[in-house]
Amino acid sequence: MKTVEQMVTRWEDQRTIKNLMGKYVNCLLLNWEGEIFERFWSKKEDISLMFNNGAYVGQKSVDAYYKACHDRNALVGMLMQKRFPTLLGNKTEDEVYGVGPFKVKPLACPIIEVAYDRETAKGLWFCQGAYNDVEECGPVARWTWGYFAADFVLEDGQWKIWHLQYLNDVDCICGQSWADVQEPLPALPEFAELGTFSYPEYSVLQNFRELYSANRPATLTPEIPEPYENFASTFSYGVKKEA
Amino acid sequence: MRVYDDYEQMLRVWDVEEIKKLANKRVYYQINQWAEKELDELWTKERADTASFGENTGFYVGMETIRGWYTTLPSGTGCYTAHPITTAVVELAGDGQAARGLWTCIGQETVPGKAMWLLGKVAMDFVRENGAWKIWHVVEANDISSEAGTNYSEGDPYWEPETDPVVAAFGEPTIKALTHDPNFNWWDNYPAPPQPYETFTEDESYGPEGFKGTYNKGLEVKQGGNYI
Repeated sequence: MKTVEQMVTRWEDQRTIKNLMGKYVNCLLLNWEGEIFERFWSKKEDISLMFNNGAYVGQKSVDAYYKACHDRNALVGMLMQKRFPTLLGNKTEDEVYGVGPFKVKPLACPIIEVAYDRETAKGLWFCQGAYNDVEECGPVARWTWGYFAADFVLEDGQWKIWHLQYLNDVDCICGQSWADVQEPLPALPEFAELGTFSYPEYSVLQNFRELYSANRPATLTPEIPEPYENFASTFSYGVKKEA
Repeated sequence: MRVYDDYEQMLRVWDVEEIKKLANKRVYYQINQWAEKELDELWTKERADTASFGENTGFYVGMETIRGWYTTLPSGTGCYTAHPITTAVVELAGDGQAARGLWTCIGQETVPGKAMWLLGKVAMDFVRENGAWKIWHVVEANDISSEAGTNYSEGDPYWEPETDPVVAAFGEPTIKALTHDPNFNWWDNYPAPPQPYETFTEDESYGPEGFKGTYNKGLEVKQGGNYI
């Protein structure tokens, strides 16, 4: 039987973790990727950030990914300034930073479990996202539906992200059907520079999750957290390499 | 009104957390196409005969009947169904033995070659059995079904149950009743948000007994276009 204080602490831990991920997706919305690593990530060396087709592992790799997001936002802002000189021409570099991308990643259906030893926690969310960005075709809106799944660790009294998976089932241009073959929008010369931009290479190049297609077999969500005693007694959202 | 001490209040706080977690877990089970597992693990065992699953046109009653309908749901390669829920309104009974919840859902159902948007409400009754919360009654009331990639504003402005694929897929429920008519959302408050309550009664449930018919004239004529 737990005491009132223990129950309150667990509830507050759960709320803090929910808020942490809420702040994380707010940073995506505001194009503040440059702040995410310092604010939310653990100092552990084996941190990992997983996407459908690869993962970053380790402090340096994960940090480099967010820095690249920041750099891409800056590039998009500059290209948008060139494309819309009347509206943006007199703005400074700082002022045009963030023009263009609008990455809406609302989090729903949380299942959060805090370990009974209170050293770690894990959470799973469904994300019905609307990812609006500028690509070689110019501004484009996509439905991005998938999951945020994370292990958290308590460091110096603060909950931090240890392993994070952001895996999609659907990544579809709005106005098209995700049940059909996607029709890419034609490239525009004014945004051609985005075609040469690349994110850092993944630490692990692996197809972790296949996007929906008519040929995709039934595909399970990331594992659903269950109550657990300590991290040794549960699964990890970290990177398991293919055998 | 009951007065709870600190310990009882915290137990009630956690009950609501566990109920929301259970409702969320059902979402992932649906995506995973775990129909049997959902019924076996998340639903009532002790009230199997009164368990129910409802949509706009009626209710399946009894776990085995619900199971029979669940097995008709699309599954396997190329099938992807997600009914994520948000905006929880959860009321825990004063006696702590039952709870009711209502959620908003922007969902989708996809089979090879066809993807549908499905927007509506999900209502559930929960019951405590052997210390764990279980699902007792579910109502998934659909407001909009629209094929992905089509222009929604060019679609038929009125819902006709006779031509709705969601109604067709629901088959022949145990109790046939037009419980929710999307043509009249602004009058048709079914399933309604739960109100604070002391103890479970069938009369105030999301089971078939909790549906009281309607004073909605639009529902009576069954045709939004003709009524308006």
